[in-house]
Amino acid sequence: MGRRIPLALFFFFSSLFARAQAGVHAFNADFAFSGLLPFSWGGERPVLSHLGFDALVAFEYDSPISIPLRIEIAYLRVSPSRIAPTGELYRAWEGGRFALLSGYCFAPFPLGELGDLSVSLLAGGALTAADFTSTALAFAYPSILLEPRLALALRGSSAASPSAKDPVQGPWLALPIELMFRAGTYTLAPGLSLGWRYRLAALI
Amino acid sequence: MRKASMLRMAAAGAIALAFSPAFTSCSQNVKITAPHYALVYGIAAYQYKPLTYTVDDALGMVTALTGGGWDPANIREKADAAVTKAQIKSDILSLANVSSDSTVLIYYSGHGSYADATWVTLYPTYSGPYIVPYDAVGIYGLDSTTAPNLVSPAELESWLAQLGTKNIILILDSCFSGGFADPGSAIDSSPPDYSAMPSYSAFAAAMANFGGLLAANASASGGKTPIVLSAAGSKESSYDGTSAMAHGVFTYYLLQAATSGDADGDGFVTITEAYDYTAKWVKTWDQTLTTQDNLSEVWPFLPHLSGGVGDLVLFTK
Repeated sequence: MGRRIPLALFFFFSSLFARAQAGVHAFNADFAFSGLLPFSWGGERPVLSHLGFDALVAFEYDSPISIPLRIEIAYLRVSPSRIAPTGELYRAWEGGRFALLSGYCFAPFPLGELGDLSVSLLAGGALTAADFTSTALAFAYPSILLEPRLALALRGSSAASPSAKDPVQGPWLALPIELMFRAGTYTLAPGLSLGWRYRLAALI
Repeated sequence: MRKASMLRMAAAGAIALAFSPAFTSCSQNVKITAPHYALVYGIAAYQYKPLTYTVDDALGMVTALTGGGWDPANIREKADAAVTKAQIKSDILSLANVSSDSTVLIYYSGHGSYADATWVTLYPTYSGPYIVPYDAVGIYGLDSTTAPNLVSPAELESWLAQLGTKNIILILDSCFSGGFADPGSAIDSSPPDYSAMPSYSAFAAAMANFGGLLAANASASGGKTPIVLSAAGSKESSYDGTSAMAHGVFTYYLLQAATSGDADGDGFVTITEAYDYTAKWVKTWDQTLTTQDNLSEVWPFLPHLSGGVGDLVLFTK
């Protein structure tokens, strides 16, 4: 057990070094759609589940040291919660979310001519402006996000001579989880995201 | 091939989960077991400026609640001279020992008033909105002996704070009743006076007041507050309705919400759904005002809602 941590650190810094040597700065854009299964609780209220979704566009900078910086703008919609036997429930809401995330992108795993498969783990914070659905009540709240992501970068037509400057695109799958702080009430929203990513530009 | 299949499955899963809110329109398999209590008041026979349909409003509300799953034994209805300030307070405090999972509803249909700058000379200690119990006006209207019987939002709040439950619904069909609907850490984008300023989108309000809303969100305790559904804004009148309605305008549509307001089809009409249904129809009614000669003195108004993240079932279908 004691040796595993130094070994993990060794691989981490090796990966960092390898990427820094490659010296790739890449700018990406992506869009995604997520299904959410939020739970709300707190403030003397019961734990009750909702259903929801979000749709987002994002811009991401891939640095040479594998630490991406990601900016997301999303539209979020959450249904009313289930109803407790007391007759209590949580209101539905919808809003716009601005999120800033960073994390670590592990070294990609080559899949032959198909492309590269990479795993990344992102975390960050978000601010949301929202309204309770079907009401005139507006509110805002902060949240924190954690997003493990699996991305496939397809080589496309330039597979014969792949280089860092090739335009790459591909799907990604993520398991985002967001903890929202809504006026003394908490909402934990795990979800499943499916997105498509485009590399806009790469500089070596 | 296997990868493509996995991708398709993942896509299907994400899309199914994403569209899952549509599934909430299915009936919810939940039985509401907690006790519900209602105090229902209507005052028409004021000694000064009597109203027409407010007692009918109260009776209609009792019928709607009974049909909407409330136990008739837990509904108390009072009308006209029986609705004094002391009686309202006594009725509310009689529910101080209800269980914490109970719901208490207070419905009031009658006059409302607003103490503005014109009150300063005669009643300098009064300000803001009030509901007007039967004993708050004499035959010549409000005077210094009857004014103490007005009920302010602070007084009502202090009585409600003594209830054994925090699941409280307050429905007011009276002028200026929006002054009782405190939006808490949210902003109410419905204007206090709809005839003087148009309503605007709640999302636009959230964007325009983003910093203030975040600060209010951070300081909110999360404790339950009464959910207030008011007929009108804090600077608006509400109206007695037409003979065809035989109810106040607001209550006429609220009673319809008991049977037609279940927007998501889950078998329950929540306060939010009742508000949504009622507000849409009152807004439609507002637009007909210019075409009705007999209502030329009537100004548009809009219902208001408070309550933050929480909601409560009002009617079970």
